[in-house]
Amino acid sequence: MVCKKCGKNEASVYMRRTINGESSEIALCRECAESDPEVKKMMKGSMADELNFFGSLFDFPMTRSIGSRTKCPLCGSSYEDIARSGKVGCARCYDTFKNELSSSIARLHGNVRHTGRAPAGRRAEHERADKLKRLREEQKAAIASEDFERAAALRDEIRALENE
Amino acid sequence: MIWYKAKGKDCDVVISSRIRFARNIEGYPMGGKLTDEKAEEIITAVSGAMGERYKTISYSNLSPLEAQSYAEGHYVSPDFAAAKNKRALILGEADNISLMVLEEDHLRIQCIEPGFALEEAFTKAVAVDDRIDGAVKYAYDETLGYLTHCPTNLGTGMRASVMLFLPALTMNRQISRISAQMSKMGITIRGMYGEGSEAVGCLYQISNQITLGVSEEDIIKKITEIVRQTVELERSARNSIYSDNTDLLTDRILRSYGVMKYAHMITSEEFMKLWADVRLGVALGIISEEDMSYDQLGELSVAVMPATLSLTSGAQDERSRDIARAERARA
Ligand SMILES: [Zn+2]
Ligand SMILES: [Zn+2]
Repeated sequence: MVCKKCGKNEASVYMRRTINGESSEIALCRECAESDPEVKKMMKGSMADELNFFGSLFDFPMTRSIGSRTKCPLCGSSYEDIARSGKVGCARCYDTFKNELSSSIARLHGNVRHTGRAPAGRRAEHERADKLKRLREEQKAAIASEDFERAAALRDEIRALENE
Repeated sequence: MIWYKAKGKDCDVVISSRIRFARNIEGYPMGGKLTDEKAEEIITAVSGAMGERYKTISYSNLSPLEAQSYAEGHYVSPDFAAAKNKRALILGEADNISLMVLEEDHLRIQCIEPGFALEEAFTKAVAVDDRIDGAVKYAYDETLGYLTHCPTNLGTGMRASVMLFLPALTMNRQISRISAQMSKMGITIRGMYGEGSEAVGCLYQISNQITLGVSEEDIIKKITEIVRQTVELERSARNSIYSDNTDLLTDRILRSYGVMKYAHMITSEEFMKLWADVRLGVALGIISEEDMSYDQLGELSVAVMPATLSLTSGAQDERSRDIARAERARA
């Protein structure tokens, strides 16, 4: 879809606004959205009631491509369904909409990965991933300090672990 | 021992400690996308895993009063009590364990212990978690941890909360200052039951906000540290209020005790005010524990709640509930 304002660029911002109970959807390209006074006001939160972006918890749809009509293969949810309700339709949604969800999750929790308990069947896998991450960091440090003997040993250890 | 009927560690300030895990089962839709048939499968699987020591209560078959009474005992959330979907409570009262099946997530495992006892609650909740883990396949991801209906619970899926009794910090109007400090650390404090600024019964709940990227142990450590500091703040606030206003405070507490012991009708709102005064009186030694014990106060706090009280007394309307409440308080 092309941008409603300039009619040239591909639209990448998709927003819904509700004014007096009537909602309309507009599609803008990134440049037009950034210079749009309503979007600017929204960013300041002054028109938050009238201009309703997809669930506040979720990513500002600046990054969402309007072309995306993907549905979760397990539960049938679209990203819009998730953004609207603030909740996924099933666990698979996290994989289906990985890119769309990642920045919202980072905003909620910080840019981090899980640490802590894991289901019994996944614990070994979890420990292996943790160990690999640690070894790669050590390898980087070894290369940086020009300890190539240590780096080579680490490389072998990483390879062995990867092939397990 | 049922959590609210027992006195735990630091009971002058800490009412209870709770650990809750959010879990979901791989391959099943969540929330409104789950059919009744699939819901039944989940209930059966979890109930089977818990065995016969635990009671499975099908929530669709309960009367509104029964449904509400479990929320008053903190075994289920108010949302769960009021929901309409197919769901079940699996209850191990003797272990202070309750499982909400099909609340927001497929499964909410909860252990609530009296007093300051997060570690104990954690150990018991983990045992239940492991047991169910053996029977179903949890939805889990390397990076995101336990996959939950709402992204706010991702990671450990764990909420550690401690319920505190903070009458002196409430009188001093220090709660909002404390709350601002806590929120910077990813910890929330909120008043129990109350909608407004004043918490009913001066009861507050402290819990972690962040669940991803921090281990269960770290969450517990952090909450424990904050609770410890808050307990000390409350104790010193009590001491200074008491030494500055000994007669006024003593009079107020004994008057409340008198009303609790002799009134004919007490509304639910008034009761919580009296209860807070009396509890503070016991903590300060103004009322002896022989006259009113922490156990009794704990038991009363649930027994006089509207649904629980209606079920035990048969009171149908507000007037007869207020009479039954006063009767219960006098006993
Ligand atoms: Zn444009
Ligand atoms: Zn899905």
